[in-house]
Amino acid sequence: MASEWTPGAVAALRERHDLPFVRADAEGRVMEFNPRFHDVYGWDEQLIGQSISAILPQEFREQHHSGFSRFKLTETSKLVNHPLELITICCDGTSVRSEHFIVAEKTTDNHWSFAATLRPLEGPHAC
Amino acid sequence: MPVDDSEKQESVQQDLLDQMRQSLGLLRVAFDSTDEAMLILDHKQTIRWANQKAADLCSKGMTALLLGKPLSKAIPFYSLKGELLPADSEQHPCHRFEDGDGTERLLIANNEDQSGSTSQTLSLLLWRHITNLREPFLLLILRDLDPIEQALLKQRIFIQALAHELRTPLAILSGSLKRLSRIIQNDKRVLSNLETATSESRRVCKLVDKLMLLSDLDTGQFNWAIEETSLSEALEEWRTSLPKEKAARIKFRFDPKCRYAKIDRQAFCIVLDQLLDNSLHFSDQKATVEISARLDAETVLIFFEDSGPGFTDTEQAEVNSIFERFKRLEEHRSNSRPEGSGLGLAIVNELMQGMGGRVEVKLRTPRPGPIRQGGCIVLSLPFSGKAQGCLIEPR
Repeated sequence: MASEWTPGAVAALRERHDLPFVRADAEGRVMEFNPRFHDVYGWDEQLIGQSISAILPQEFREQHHSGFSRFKLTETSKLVNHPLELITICCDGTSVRSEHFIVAEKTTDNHWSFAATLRPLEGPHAC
Repeated sequence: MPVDDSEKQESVQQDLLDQMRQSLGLLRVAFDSTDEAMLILDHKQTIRWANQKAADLCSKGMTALLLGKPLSKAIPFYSLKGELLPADSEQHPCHRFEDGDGTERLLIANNEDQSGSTSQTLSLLLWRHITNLREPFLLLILRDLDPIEQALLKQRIFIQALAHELRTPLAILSGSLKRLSRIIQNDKRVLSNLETATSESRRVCKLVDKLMLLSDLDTGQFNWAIEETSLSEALEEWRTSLPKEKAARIKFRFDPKCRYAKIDRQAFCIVLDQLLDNSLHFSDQKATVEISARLDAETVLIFFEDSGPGFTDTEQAEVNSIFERFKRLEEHRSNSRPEGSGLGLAIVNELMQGMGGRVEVKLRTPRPGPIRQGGCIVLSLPFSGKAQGCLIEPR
């Protein structure tokens, strides 16, 4: 079921070195990303600690915040565990249509962790 | 600042953030639990927020897939006849949003069906402007009509289709009767029967026209074009469109400086046509009609007074029922004239409501004089803001 979360899901995505990968903590702050994420979207270390909504278009942010808050209460979401075509904002403000695959996982200390691989669907890195 | 204070402040801020997040989450849970699809659009009519029902309806349950899309691309709207409304068509609800808050009955494609097939649902679309925020937004609510309202609407759509179907054979019948009366000149008995048949077919044609108009109004098919209009111009235009013998019976009492109202000219002319037909019908074609107007706070009042039988012997409650369909007052029945369709004043009522106004009967006590004993219908219309001062009041 799409709303279920899978143990080990974050680690499995992290292994996909060919795709941009980004992870956020339970507060929605970016905790890590891989070199491919930097290559494709241009974000550098300054993104660490910022809200993950920074890589979403302005018009997505209200929905993102309310959806994120709902997830913390219900621990269910229809967005996880299947590909979603969304717009990703690059460090220079440009946007790239990308296929997001989002997973959610509870860590051993009972905190949520969210991660995604992003497949660019347009531009020089399209794959 | 000491480290302890800084940590305390951070902790307070985190608590506040957690509380706000919880409130936001709870609100979201509540909005996702409703049976109404809700969307919020920005000033470019791009979807900025959607609840779960909206996503179930148009994006396979994924709210994120609706965001950033123009409404016209996200949700296909259909007329009540089942025709897709293109985004550039005037009938598309997008074009009505700028006129203020509103509602409309429409067919919406329903993608909730697990089989993958798309059905259409009769829905009520409501839109409300959100103006007290940093930028303007528009809230859209899509609500399934309840089964009774759906059945009623389907019935009205059927009547509309039936009326359209009846129109052509009736026109053929009327034409044939006319041709027959030209051929048969000698036989008085046949001619008399033909005259009766012609008159009855004309009556049925009028009835069908009225039914069609009412069903257009009932099903939202009437093309409203409400705009600020000079009442004197609209009334003169209407009088000019009448046959001379009818026009001669009408008197206006106007102050040329004022008299603006928000009306649909076509609807306004139909209202006046119906009222005049009514006056002439009940006064055996001898009525004189006087139309005057005055401003009452935020309302323009138009008085339509005739020299017909009026409503002096009737209670107000019963008089008000004349705006119901097929309602005829007992005191107005007469063997010397054919019965009207019983739909004219219902049309007046619907059209006035459609223009944001209303219609009432003013009861009066009998007085001597040639014109003041008749009926008085009062039309109320929203004041457009252009009018200055008072108009001439009815005597």
